Amino acid sequence: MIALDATGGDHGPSVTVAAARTAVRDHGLRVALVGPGLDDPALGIPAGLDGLTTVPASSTVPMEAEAALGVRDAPYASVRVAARLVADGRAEALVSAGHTGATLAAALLDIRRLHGVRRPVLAATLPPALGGAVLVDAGAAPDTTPEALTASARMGAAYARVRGHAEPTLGLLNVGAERGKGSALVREAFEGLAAVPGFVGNVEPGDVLAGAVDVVVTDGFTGNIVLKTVEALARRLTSTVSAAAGADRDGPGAAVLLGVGGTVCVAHGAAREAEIVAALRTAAALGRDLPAALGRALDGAAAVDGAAAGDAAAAVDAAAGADARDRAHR
Amino acid sequence: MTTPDVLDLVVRHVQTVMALDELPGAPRELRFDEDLAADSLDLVELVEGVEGELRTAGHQVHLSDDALRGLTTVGEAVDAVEAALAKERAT
Repeated sequence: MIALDATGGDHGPSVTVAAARTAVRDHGLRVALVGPGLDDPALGIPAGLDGLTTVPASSTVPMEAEAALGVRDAPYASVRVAARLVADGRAEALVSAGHTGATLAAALLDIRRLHGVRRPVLAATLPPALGGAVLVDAGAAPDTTPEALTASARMGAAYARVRGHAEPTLGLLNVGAERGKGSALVREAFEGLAAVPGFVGNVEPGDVLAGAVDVVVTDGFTGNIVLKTVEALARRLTSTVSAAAGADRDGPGAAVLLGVGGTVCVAHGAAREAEIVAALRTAAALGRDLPAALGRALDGAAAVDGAAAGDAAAAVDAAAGADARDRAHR
Repeated sequence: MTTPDVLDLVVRHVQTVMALDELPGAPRELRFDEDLAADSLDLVELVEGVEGELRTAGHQVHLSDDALRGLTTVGEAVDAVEAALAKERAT
């Protein structure tokens, strides 16, 4: 069962109720709509629809609220009640189109972080026509550390594996491919990332859009700019290209929060029915597999990092050098 | 619950929230902002974690928003929780 924050997002129940109905009737999902006033007949929640339930909540967290304290002071807000359904094992995942900060806070307070995660990150999948990579962090943590980027990379790779990439490749988003490029943060992060299986080195934006790697690792500030740029680009392209780039209704439909003990999908605040349905389907597909995979990836990190760092760094250097030579010859 | 127990409790939750195996200095003196780079969300998670564990142990402790906003060091967090426990004992 997927817990859907019924009041989240710009359109609230007018969209989430329709999305839940479609997800249940057309895709066989089980959805629990969580929110206040769901017994109002005007909402059009079909009575007796097998697979669709409602769970009462007493309030919502306003989009403009100071996220952390606002969520603390609203223990019965729909997003928190929905998060506790996941924490209690009654739901496999949470979907919300509400304030990302509030959803993050609810996930941390009620579902709890995975051991060793400094701050959960958002994983967003770029449109297939624009590379199709998993971008992590897409905006949860604007400021980060080299160690957190390494954890982020491991979680991004685990997420990619759950989504079907047997041996995902990872790249560190940078201003150049050569080792030693970029800010102090990315230069230091490179050293730790070298021990992460599948890490191929630095990647530039053009590499990302060309689909050179399966997972792109960056800090949340940069990642959010990349995501919004790609989304704006997709909207402005010609109808043929934009249809291919942005209208993948079977795609993720939402970013996925990595680093808490349950699956949490964060949809756009402006999401319409189709995007919410896509998010519900993504949440159902990830279910309980994702947090288990993330936990294994993080637990296995310590054993791998120390022994493999040196050899892995040398391998990455060699690969980066070969790639740079390839580019020079094109 | 004695003061040393509260210190251990708060330290454990600081370590969890900040993903640290060990704290970088004398715990009570650590500043949330300057030494731990903790933000408001971290403080809320820390306090909620401490309150939750105390609740499981049978104590009803809830720090006000103003009290939470005023916490600048681990020591102040320990003192605030200890004060709340003392108030509970007195009622």
